[in-house]
Amino acid sequence: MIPVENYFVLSSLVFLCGLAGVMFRRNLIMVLMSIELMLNAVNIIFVAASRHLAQVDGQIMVLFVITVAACEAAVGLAMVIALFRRYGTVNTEFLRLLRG
Amino acid sequence: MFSFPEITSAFYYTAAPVLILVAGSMITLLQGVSRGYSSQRAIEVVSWLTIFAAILAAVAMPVDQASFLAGGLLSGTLVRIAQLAILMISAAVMMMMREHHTAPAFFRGEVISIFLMLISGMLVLVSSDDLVTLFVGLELASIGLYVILGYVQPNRRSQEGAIKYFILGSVAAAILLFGFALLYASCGTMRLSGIVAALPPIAGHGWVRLGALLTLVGLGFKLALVPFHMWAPDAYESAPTGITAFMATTVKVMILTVALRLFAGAYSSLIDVWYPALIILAVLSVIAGNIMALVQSNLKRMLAYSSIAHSGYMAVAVCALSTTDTNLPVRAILFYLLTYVIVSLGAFAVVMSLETAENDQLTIDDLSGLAKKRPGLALAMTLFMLSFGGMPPTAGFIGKFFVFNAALNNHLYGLVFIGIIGSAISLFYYLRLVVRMYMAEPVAPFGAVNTAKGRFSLTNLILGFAVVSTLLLGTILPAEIMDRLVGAATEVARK
Repeated sequence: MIPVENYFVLSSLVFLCGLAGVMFRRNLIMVLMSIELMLNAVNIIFVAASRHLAQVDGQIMVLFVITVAACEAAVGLAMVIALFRRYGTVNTEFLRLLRG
Repeated sequence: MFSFPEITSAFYYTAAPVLILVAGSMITLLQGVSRGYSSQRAIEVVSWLTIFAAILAAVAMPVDQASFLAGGLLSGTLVRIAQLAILMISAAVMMMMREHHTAPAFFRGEVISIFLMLISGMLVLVSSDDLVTLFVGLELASIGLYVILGYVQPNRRSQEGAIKYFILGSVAAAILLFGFALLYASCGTMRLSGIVAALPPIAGHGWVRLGALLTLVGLGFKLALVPFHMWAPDAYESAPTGITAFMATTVKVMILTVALRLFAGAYSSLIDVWYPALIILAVLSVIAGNIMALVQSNLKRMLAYSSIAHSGYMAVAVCALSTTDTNLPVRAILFYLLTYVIVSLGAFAVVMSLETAENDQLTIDDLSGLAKKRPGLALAMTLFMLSFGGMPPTAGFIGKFFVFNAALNNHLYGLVFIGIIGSAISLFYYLRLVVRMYMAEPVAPFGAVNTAKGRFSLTNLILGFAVVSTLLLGTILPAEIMDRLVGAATEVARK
């Protein structure tokens, strides 16, 4: 029997990997993947808690999170494609028009 | 056979605004794809009908507290106030967009469809007690905003603003969700009211505290509190001005409604986590927001930093929720929100009526000598700037008075001191704009802004409404409004 706190630790580590990816990666595709990683890290907690509490609520939430993550990915990829057409690259260093 | 005992007529009355918006969104989407058969005019008519029908439905909504779909949908005074505010802002923004040079781009089937859908997401968010619907509503609103930001006028500036807003908004949603997950795992319920009730005995636990802190960070991101504000100036500057006005007002309404539900009930049990964090956020937002606004030359960017500072003032009032009587701070926040929304709409209406298709990024220099060319607009802008700065006899003064009063009742003397310093700094750049409009000579050709003499227009209607409301809220109405907010404040109060 693995205590439920271990899942929290695992999820936190995966979440931090995602956060680090968003902060330090310069490639927009990698940033999008890191955001997905963060959302999926949260899913681990929901499933573990759902099992721990013997409730189905957490797993329902996971279904919704997966759906929302798919929508976000669709919109994000569309934006990245639009930027790629304009700049010819998906590197964040080219996004320097707005500052101050 | 299944039966649905909760699907009663009261449910339909409560859900009507959301259902109408979703229906309108679907119809405009179909109109958008069947371009040969449906004119721009027809799309516009459907969108106006939808938004006004939704407003009527929200007016007719029952105000007695009830909960449907296992907490997925609430009815009550606070829900009705928040829904009406969001819908009226949306209608005002549509009126202003209609006369803006971006109108043909905005009143397209797919854009209007997304616009109506994201409003329905906001309504779901303010009326839900369940973490699932809350998250879906939040994401519906956010994803719609990401798309609208970059899609109405697809140029370098707006696409860059949209992707920055998208990345930071998604990270904020993930952080908020992480906080929700930890709260769910610790409290064993998806209901916000259940979490608030279950928190006191377990509030000392490390994972609970982490969850509470992350929830605050997620909400802080969405409210653009410093240091989580990086997206706001870029997004506000790059969006078409009508959308900027929409974002600056509705997002604050919806996030603060959720924050009040959570904080008013659970604040005192988690005070050692939230109190220090909120104080840091409030102080940084008030000081840094106002100082950054000082050095801006772009008008919309200046208004963005000013809105960050105003979020900071609202966070000051949230800090004051630790008193045994949460009624006063909650009403102070709602009143401040009301004044902020009205004055912001007015200020952005001035910006929109000055913009032209050639110059849609106005600088402060562009407004030099405005009083000679368009005295009415200059006078209105002066009033809004005085209100933002918190000068009597305007709405902003009374709003700040209530917020500082609530903080003083809770012995937050330091915070009030910082708030007053921030107001003093802010007066510098607000009044600098006024001085430019009245005392400076127009910049050379003065062709940069729209100087066509204002005949009757919907934008001027909104402007007039904002001017009258700013004056009334600063003089005779505050006591009346505060009395009417008692019901909403007791709904979120600690049980």
